[in-house]
Amino acid sequence: MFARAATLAMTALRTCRTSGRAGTLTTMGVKDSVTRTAYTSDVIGAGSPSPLVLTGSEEITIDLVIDIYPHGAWQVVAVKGELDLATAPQLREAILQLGAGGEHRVIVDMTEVGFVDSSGLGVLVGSLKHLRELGGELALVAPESSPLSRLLDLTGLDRSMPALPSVDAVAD
Amino acid sequence: MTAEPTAVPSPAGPPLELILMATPHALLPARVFAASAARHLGVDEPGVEDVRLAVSEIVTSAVEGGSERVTVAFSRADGHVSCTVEGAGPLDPEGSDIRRADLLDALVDDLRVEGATVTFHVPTNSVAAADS
Repeated sequence: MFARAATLAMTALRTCRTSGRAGTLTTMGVKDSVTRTAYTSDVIGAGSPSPLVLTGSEEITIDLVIDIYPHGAWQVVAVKGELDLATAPQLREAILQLGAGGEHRVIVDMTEVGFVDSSGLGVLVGSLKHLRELGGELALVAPESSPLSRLLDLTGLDRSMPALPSVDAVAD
Repeated sequence: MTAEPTAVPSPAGPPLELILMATPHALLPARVFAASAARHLGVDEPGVEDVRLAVSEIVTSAVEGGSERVTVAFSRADGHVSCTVEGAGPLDPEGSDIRRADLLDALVDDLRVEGATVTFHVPTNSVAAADS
């Protein structure tokens, strides 16, 4: 029993470590990401048989992949990866740079984002406010079943910041 | 959704615990661990996603709140899996756009916050629950 639990947890951590070399972490739905990893984990079975304790000084961040391209009057910011406290600043910076360069109408395509939490959502809300102050607009694209759509629904933000199913669904 | 079993039914057993330095780089391993542990203990897939998000939110509060370390622990109880996070920070610091406590309430059951300790429950799937 203990051995099985240990194997499971080891597998979880090994997945992280493997991702450092391969640049993909399929269990997290992240592909083609640039990986920056300095992994120095100690797995400690401790003296007693329970609990199983894993300690580590993991330094794992899988950078977002951000593609920017024009679409009519809009600039599309297509994001791949997981949007959390560690990665959200990359998205904020990309949108700020567009705004500073005079591009104030931005579509954030979250279709390829496998995870987003309130840190990521905070950046989207902040970017929307920022672009509106510049006289622009921010539109969101994500499928109905996506993590972003679920989070917008859970927080009630879907009413003020709805996600559209595709870039083509965004009105000019 | 396929009917494929998502986890080998497992006994209550000892808790599974992960201790991390509370930095932004802890979020990804915390989520991998949380999803793996929840799945292993019999939580079905939509529930696993809820656990992944809930743990990410609470560990984020630890990072934002300036905690040094954060401990995420899972154990199996009667019909549910219990998760305890120690070292959490304030869930809703002033000025935040999104109410994290409300989000967690919508995601998981029996959310309790006692100082820096946050606990919640998620139901196990019926196959695993029937085995316990």
